[in-house]
Amino acid sequence: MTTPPSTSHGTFQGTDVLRWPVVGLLLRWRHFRTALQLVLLAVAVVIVVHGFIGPEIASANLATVLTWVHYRGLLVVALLAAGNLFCTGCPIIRVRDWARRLHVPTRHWPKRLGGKWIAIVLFAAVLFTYELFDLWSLPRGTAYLVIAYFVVAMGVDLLFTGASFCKHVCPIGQFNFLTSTVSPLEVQVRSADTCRSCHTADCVSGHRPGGRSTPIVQRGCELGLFLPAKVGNLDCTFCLDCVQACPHDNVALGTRAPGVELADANRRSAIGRLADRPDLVVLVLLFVFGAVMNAFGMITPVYRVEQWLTTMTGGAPEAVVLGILFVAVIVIAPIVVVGGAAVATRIVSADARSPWRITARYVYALVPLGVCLWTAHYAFHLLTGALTVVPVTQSAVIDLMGWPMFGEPLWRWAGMRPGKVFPIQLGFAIFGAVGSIGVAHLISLHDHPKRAVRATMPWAIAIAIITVAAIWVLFQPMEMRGVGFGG
Amino acid sequence: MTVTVRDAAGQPVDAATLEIQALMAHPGMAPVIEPAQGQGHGVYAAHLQFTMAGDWDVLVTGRLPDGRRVRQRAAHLSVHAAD
Repeated sequence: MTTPPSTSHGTFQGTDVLRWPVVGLLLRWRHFRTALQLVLLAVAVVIVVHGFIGPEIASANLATVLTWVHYRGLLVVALLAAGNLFCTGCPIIRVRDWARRLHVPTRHWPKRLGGKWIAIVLFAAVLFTYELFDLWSLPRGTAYLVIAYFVVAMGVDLLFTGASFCKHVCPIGQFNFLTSTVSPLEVQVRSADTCRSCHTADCVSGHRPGGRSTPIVQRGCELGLFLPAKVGNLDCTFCLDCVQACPHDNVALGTRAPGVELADANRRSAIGRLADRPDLVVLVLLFVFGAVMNAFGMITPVYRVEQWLTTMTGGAPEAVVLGILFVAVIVIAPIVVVGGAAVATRIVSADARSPWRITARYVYALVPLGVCLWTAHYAFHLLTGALTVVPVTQSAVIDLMGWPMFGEPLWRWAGMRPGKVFPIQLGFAIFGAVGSIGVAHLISLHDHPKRAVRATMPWAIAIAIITVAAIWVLFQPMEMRGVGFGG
Repeated sequence: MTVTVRDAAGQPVDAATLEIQALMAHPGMAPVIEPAQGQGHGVYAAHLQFTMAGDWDVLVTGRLPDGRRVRQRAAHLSVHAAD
């Protein structure tokens, strides 16, 4: 069997959403992204303002409700239903673009800081501090986090050219990039022949209507994705700058088979081969096992484990105890489970590659499972708390205006009962496991065409182990702690 | 749970319309809301049945006899699952 077909290498044959009557017109509208960014910027302002002046009670403050219930939930829904729309509408980039009118960066991102290593450290740090400081329960802490995000992004992108922050620093961006590998839509070339006859590469270098000596009127891809060589959604922010820049109208927002790109061994524009990217391998492991850890932090057994660890360590501080737990779940568990699968594949399929090389090839098969575990968690909060934004908004208006302009707060409004959501969570976990086994088998069909089933088996077992662990977590009684106003 | 309402002079306030709200430390969770029954001498009582273990913020909300709105934090409780 040949390499699974990459989605951007041939002539596009799927459905192009950009050609749809209303949605297509909206997406192709030159100011579509700006409009979306302004909406999310307004939401960010509300989060920061209410975080500071609203009540110090997480369930009654828009900062915590919008950030930890709605933003996270809608983010994964958008990624699974369409694509990376929250990167499209990222308000930080709107503010950055305004700031770049005053100061144009000239430095390029240092090569020694290339890849995703900084983002990986920040991703792990966010997961850790989220648990250590109970960020979900801190309206002001959440507001400070949003401000810090803007400040760091400004600092990076006013110093370095392109989308340096998005590509190398932003932990949410990396989460979105990985999740978007299972999105149904992808920015693709409409006709490969048109690209072959193109000599200006406006999709990546920007559009200059008057030729090379004239100024750019429409920027190209800030993440350096050259469309004819682009494979899949990794590093694509769905900004659609390439759609605007291409003078041949040769860019589609097309449908595709979700997840297939994870088995693609081809070299990708601005990314290279996935198997040659140790940073992406680590990012995937953090993404998948971090999903288990993040859910584990909200159930009753975690507190018993923490108490046991505290006793065993002679009363170590919470940060140390939590650190031990994190190391166990996001470092040791991946080494054992994924490393074990790689060694087993090496043996059963007579693969001459090292266990690391096998891991670097197969680890991407875990992404669908990771996506579905994050979705199961975030969907729980969204579905059980979708309507809480109504009374919190009503209450905020009363605080602001002094009278119930939107009526008395309907505090009983919440959402689905947790018990009703559990089957949905279970469905996501199983769906993710099936998707991951499917991707692992696609990789095996390419790498071990004569021993595909045998090569897949260790990964199917690894995926089953992670899935069973995650379902066990979902089954446990929830126990959500928080510092609250009591300190 | 009982709460006592007093005015600025320290005198008990009866005839207020109050309810007790328990809000989870994690946003987005269904609250526990019960009307508080007046017991006399400014004391109001409500029976709260928590729906899950975890940290809860307890608030007293409603209106005082003179029509003023009240929304006062009363307690921060750690509820543990029964073994």
